[in-house]
Amino acid sequence: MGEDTEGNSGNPCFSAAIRKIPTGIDGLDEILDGGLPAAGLTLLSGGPGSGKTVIGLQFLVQGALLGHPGIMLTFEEREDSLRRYSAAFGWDIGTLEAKGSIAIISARFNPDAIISGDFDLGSVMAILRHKARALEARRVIIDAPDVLLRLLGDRTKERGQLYKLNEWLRDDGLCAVMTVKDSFGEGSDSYREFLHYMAECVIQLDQRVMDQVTTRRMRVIKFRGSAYGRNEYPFGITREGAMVIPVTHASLGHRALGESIPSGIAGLDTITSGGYRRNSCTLITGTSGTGKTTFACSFTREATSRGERVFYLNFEESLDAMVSCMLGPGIDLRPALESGLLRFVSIMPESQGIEEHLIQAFGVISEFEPSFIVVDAISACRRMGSEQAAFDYMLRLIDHCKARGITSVLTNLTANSGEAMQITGMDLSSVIDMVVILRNIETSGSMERELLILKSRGRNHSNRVHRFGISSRGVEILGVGQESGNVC
Amino acid sequence: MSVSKFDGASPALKCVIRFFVAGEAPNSIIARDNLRRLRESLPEIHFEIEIVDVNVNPEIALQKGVFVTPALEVLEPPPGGIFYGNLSNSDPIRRLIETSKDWPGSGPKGLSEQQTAGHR
Repeated sequence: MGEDTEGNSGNPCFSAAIRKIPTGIDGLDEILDGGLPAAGLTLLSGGPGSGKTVIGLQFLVQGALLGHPGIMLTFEEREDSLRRYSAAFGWDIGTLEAKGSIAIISARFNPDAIISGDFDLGSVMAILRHKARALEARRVIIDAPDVLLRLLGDRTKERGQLYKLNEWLRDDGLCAVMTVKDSFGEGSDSYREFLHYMAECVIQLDQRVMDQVTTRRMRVIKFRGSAYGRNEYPFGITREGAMVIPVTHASLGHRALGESIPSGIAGLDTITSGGYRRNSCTLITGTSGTGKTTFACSFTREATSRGERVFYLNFEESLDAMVSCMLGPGIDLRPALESGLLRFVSIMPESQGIEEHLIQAFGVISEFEPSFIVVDAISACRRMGSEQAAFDYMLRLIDHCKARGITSVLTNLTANSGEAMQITGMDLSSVIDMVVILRNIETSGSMERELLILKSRGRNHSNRVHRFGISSRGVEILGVGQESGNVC
Repeated sequence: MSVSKFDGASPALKCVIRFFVAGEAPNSIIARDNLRRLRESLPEIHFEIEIVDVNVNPEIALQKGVFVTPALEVLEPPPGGIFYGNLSNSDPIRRLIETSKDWPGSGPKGLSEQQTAGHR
């Protein structure tokens, strides 16, 4: 048997030599190049509320559902509070316990105990070993052992016990995840070094506030003998548990631009050689009151009337407000809502971090499978935290859509018409295929609406400034009929 | 009615202990030795000791919520208590037992009631 293992470890292609267990957590396995080390210790380190326990529980539940039993050994929580906590994510721990797929051991310190000399964790290790054998469990979560270890009274003893625990985990070939806090108090640096040395894999979680919006980040610090994603990745904790935002792949998996799709505005189709293109991303930009939402809704009505599904993500208005506003220009969205072809989500940008926003949007996309997405307005995304956060959000969302062949229409509110020329102010131009600029011009006591196609990839389009009107018949591009030959 | 039993001669106080050890782990060996010394220093007390080796009977340790070893649980006399450690400092446990031993002095009735409560 010795030869076998030697042969394996001598393999230069190391990721093949390390056996791994998938966590079942979206995105995390991608970063870990397959999963957690199948034998040995993984350290999950992070401050309070950073999501350590949730990730541990999720790993256990995902495994149990696939028939891999596991044990949760917690030094901090009561069994019943862990069950309640899990229920909030839809995980029925009680049933899994009854089936023998999960065991929760709550090793809480008896507050009435009197210390009368040195002691060790012999008992908890015996209990753990007993349970692991009874359940045939290979997965063990050790939650917050510092609570009990602290009682040992000194760091040398703590290390001794942790070392012993780790040796035992290795001997028994268990896949163990240990959650530890970020700060270890006095002598923390050498203690952290010791913990990192013991573990095969170290994952650091953190929660930070950027411009009043909280975001979560995850980073793999080490993974012995394995490749791993080395960046910091945003992740979120949703009602279904933790989810790491899929990495924007280096290779752009975008689909090619497809056929033209009517924009819902006849004149616009004429000056853009047929309308928006499938798999493309179109930006409608302009100052306040220039008709951006009316353009987006014209398209929405047109697409749903052809039986295609549209996901309308609104950061500025409620459903009722938008539907009633659109009745003015004669755009009735109610049939599309009733038929279920239009999915409307209205949310305040500052209500959550970009991870949660992305997870929510990706959730709707995977469940609703829309052909089109409308984001109204991307300028509001700055309120998710910072300019960078807005950029990250939009880039990942557009990337996600383009990889799935979902055509996107974005609106953007600019403060003045000069800014409109910078397209978004967010540097997104590389992923945007068509830009429509709308503006209001004041001329001799009246206001005129103007439209300009700034860019349209792979298509002829008019270079002229066109006047247009919004009436109860919707948007009409003026004087287009005669000049249709003029497209350039 | 049973009160008279404790009049006169020194009463034999019973001390019931459940003692958790982890096989031959160093702290468990030391604890066994320290417990033996403690018993010898309290000849007037009748000890009943149940030793639980957590490596053999982990279920009992789990059921009793004992996660460190050695651990000593005083079941009788009341109010009892739980001690973690190898008993290198046996003062606390000695005081707990001796305080209970002194109860007859505070009145035979008191002891009788306490004992009845303990046996119930």
